[in-house]
Amino acid sequence: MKDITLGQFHSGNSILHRLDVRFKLYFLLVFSLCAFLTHTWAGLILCAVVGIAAFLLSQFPLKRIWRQIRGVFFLFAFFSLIPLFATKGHTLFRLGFLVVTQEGFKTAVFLVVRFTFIAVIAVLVTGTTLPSDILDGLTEAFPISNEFAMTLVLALTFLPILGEELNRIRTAQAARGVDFYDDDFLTRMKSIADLIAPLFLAAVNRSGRIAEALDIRCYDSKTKRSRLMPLKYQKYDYFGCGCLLVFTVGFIFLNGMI
Amino acid sequence: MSETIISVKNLRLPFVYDSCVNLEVKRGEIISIYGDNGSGKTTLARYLTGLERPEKMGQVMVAGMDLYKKENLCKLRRICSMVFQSPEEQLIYRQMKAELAFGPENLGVPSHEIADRIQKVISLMRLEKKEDIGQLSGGEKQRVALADILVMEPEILILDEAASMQEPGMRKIIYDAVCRWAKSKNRTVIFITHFEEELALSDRILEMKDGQLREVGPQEERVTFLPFLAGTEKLNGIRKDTFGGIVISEYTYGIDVYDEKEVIDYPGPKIRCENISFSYRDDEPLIENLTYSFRKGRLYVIKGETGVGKTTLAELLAGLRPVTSGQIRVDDMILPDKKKSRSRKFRKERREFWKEIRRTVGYVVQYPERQLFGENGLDDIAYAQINMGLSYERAIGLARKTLEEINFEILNTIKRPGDLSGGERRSVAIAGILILKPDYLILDEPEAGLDEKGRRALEQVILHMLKQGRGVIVISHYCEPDSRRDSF
Repeated sequence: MKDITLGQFHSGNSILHRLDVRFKLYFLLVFSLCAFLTHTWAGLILCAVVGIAAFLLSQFPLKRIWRQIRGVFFLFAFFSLIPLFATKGHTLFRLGFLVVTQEGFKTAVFLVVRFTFIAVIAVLVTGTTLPSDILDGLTEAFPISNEFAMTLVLALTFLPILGEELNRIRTAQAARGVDFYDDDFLTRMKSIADLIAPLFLAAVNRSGRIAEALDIRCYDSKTKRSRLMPLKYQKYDYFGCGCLLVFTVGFIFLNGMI
Repeated sequence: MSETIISVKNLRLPFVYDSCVNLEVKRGEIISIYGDNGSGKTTLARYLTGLERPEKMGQVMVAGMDLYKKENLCKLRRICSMVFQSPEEQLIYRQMKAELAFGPENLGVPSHEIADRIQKVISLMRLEKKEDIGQLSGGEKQRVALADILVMEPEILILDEAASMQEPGMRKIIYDAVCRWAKSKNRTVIFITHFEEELALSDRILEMKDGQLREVGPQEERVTFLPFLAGTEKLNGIRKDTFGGIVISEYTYGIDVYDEKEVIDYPGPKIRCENISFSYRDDEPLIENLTYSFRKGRLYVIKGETGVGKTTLAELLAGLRPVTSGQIRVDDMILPDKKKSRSRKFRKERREFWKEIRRTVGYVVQYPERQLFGENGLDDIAYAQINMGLSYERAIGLARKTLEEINFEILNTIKRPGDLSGGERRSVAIAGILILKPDYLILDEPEAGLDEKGRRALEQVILHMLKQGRGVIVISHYCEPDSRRDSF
């Protein structure tokens, strides 16, 4: 919990950083749809290859991505145990009294790979795009209201603030003799419970302050805003659109939709 | 004569008994408002920026707009803006350019002009080469908050203790710049402050007292704000050392003898830093090769610009962070470094060890009153002793005794933390550390945001500690204990 990195921007100068935010959001949408819909191995492998290619283009260290998506990965790995053992069909192998079928194996792998790579792409998009760009990109690329876009962006920026708040409370409690590393399980649980109430209070307090900060800085969802850097499609984006098109067509072909 | 831009008539402030505020400000004026904690200065500012709504029509008028009417608020904020005291709560984004551009973008300022304004304000607030706001120190963040508002170029600028965390030199630089900007563009500035510098820059000075604003004439005698711990006869400066950007001064209490040898090779109990280094990230050390001893019965004042690692040093001394290299020894105990604090062997003895450290070194964090943990003041003071394993009754008894020692009204502390005033909350938070009777007490900017009364009370606590032969380490920009010997 020390550093909350989920969805945080990391500065850089990779191709992904330079792509227009609107293209990246469209890409995220199309990719997620494809990953959801695929039902052939070839389609799944294509999604995985595109996901890995995007990761390589971002020039991010693997550790950074892994730290952000491991939650999603383990969650779906856990859920995949149900179809893995509960699907009827041709037996693949046995583990004691548990039977793993070919169909169950396929469902489980699809479940994990699908969601892991959607998470990878989502993390790459938020990691290479300034939150301020995401705000503008969302409202320009999709028919959603300014308020909704602002709420999403604030949720992203609020996460590290919560992390900082938590650290502050911990330091203050440690200075007053709370031992977070106590070996006794009950004492440890109690000290964590002691953190939650102040953290909740701080979060409520903070959200009120943020609303005021937005007011003071004249944020108004109804008036039109100007931009320091107006969004503009550039040659990378046209190239990217081409790649996206090839990916979509290839995907449809591999899934036998035509 | 220029026009009146702000007019407040018979405004009643909530929570301030019997208040009736009247104020008139002309366009282009620079005024200062001072007053005790809880006197209603910040509340008044909140009315002026439309964050609070007046009870009646015509009570608060800004630039000809009645703030009773809700439809005026949006227009008002475009011309009247405010910087709050605590910086973190005002920042939206973590990237400098996006953050600074947010306000002007909302105002619809054209792109090239936003870029120009950002350039200007970055050099004005000395924020060159800072990109990631998350990595900045408290003082630097405070300058970003100020830059955020300046870049919007409001007609009226209200600064509520907006430079309280800056060191005096920086404070003067940025406020001079603000005032030059205001005078050249005929903008109105209202300082809410506890500092002499702002008063000197103002055309008019007002005092908020008993719910009323009163003009203080230029010749009139008013409260003078002395630096923290100034005017105490018994403190003698004997030594001043510089480590990178950190300056540590040592003061004796009562005795005026100084023996160089004694200071360096002092054999008795002390906090000894031996060649310590610390870095948050591998490549950039924040503190490098610092060797120093903090003795009992002496006062140490740590100064330095924002971001040089003062708070980090305090956290190292209190054992709240492990050093990257070197060694810190508290009396006979060696604080574990990064490697040892993770090792399996150390875990077993850890519990008792840390309790002993907490009892020996007390650490009062910045703005400690933001983290109170009890149902009422007394409960909160007892919190640390309960964590140490004392029964509730005995801990409360100790809490009462601690309060008696520092001459604080017990009656007040039975209130819930939310009902205590700022100064009272600070006292409760400090008493919550004093109850451990630490041999060394570290205070991180203890006087920030406190009024004169609060500061004087805090000085008494520190002197009391020194008299008992305990060591006190204070991080503060505005601490000048020994004015007679500035050059030592």
